[in-house]
Amino acid sequence: MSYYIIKRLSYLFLVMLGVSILTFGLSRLTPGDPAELVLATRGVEPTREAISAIRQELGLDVPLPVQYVRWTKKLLQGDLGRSFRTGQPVSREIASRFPATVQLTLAGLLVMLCIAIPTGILAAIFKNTIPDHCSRVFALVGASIPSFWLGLLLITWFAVRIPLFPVMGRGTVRHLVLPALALGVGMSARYARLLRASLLEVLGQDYIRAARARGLREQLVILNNALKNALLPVVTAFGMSLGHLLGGTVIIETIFAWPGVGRFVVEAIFNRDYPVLQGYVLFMAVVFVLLNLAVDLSYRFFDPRIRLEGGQGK
Amino acid sequence: MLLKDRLALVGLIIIVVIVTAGMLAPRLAPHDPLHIDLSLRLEPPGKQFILGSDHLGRCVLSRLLYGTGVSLKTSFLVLGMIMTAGIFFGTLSGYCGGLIDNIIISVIDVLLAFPGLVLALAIAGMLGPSLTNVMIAIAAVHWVGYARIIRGMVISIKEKEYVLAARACGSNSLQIVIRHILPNILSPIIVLATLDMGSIILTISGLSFLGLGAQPPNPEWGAMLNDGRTYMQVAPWLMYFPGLAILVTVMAFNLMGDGLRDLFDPRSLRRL
Repeated sequence: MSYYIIKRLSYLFLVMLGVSILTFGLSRLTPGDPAELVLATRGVEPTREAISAIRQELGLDVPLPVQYVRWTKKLLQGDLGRSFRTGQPVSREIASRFPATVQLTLAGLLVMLCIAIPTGILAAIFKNTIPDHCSRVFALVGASIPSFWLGLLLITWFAVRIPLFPVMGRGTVRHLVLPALALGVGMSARYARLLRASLLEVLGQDYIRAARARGLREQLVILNNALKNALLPVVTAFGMSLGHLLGGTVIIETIFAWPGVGRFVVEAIFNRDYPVLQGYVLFMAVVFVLLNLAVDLSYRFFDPRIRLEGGQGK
Repeated sequence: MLLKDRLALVGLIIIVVIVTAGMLAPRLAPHDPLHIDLSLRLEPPGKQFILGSDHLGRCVLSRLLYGTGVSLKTSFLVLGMIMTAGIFFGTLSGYCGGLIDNIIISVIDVLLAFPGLVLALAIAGMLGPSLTNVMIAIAAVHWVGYARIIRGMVISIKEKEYVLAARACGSNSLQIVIRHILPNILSPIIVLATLDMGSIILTISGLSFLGLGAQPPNPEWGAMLNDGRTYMQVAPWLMYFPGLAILVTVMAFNLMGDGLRDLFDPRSLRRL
């Protein structure tokens, strides 16, 4: 296990190196001269002197590799640069909005689990009967519905027509309901089907037959013996789709005016506030990579079969 | 199994209808999709406008029909870019091995370290809002998945007897790749592409909805939803129809993709 962790961490280091190079390169995609852009946002006339002064200030007057090394040095100290628009450190801007995004993501996850687990179990128990067919239709629609459209529908129906929930903003738990639904419902469809398939596979195993033969009640067999093992593949798939969830919050936050990093970055795009965009991508990649590592390690921890393989240095 | 086949057929029929509608849009559309008439703004669905009119008095049905072409064309183009890059780099990496393989695999690993939509959003944002930039961004992010799968397939195929036989007969690498390897990876790749088509349409319309993709007055479905957002209380049809169009199209591709996967995937029996 420890060998595996060391190997995984050194790999992580290489990936992060690549991520930093790519993110650094992203800022070179922008059309036009960044120095002129900064001058424009500050409302200064772009004379030749002003441009060369700003290039020096931004460190753009040295060769690219030197710029990269300087940028990385700052990065390691947690300095993501300053927003063109507000002049505040990007790290602080992101950090102040990140809790709202985490809250929304967790609420979306909760919605997903609350729908996916019961639906998946029901579909497996009533395989090829009406509940299963319903879950199949739900899975198809859930996988095909645009989350932003679902968000708009939820607002129209449950905030405007029947004013059960606030239309937008953050504050009480009631503010959280609609965005969490818009985020979680689409994803739950896939997981319900995945759980169903994995449950059916587990239910065909010998130890389940043994449990049944011992006369355990069917509900107990499913809840105690089968569900635990059936959840493992779901956890792995879950790790892979965390990225969807993190990316998905961007659209949902914009629709519901949720004050998280996602909405912030969309505003930054339209303000051509590139340091914010760059910081956001890097930040999200780090979060994503660490989350995947955590999911991977926990998976190995929970499944003894893989733990053994890991110990042997696989 | 039979049910799955039938559903895949339903998906195919819907796709054919949608593609035809998109191609015949100039003939089918009752009005000019870009014609602005402020005296007819926000007309509810009725005799004059079957699906109503938008905030500039443009016919929603006509815009939807023209939008079909926009959505399908961009999605197919993106898919084409993804498959070209994926097949090229995947085959190169899997067939050559060694240093080239290591370099390509590292690039793939780094790109996979980003959440897909976030990276696409960043690239599109850096390049500036336009439909072309959104297409470039999505393709730049998506090809890695294909390259990785193709690389795996190529590695397993290149040791097969018929490839060795071809080499023994004096075929060069290019001939082997084109005649013996590519034909064998094509069908799973087509299945994968069909399954992905839905998510590509969703991503393009999502980014357009944010205002990054299609720019007004281009009648793209996601952009139409974004336009109609402000009026969704007084004119809910501006919100219902474009969303429904996206839903039905994506659903049709998912249906067909699922069916094709079961046809080609030997593990389908296990998946039930």
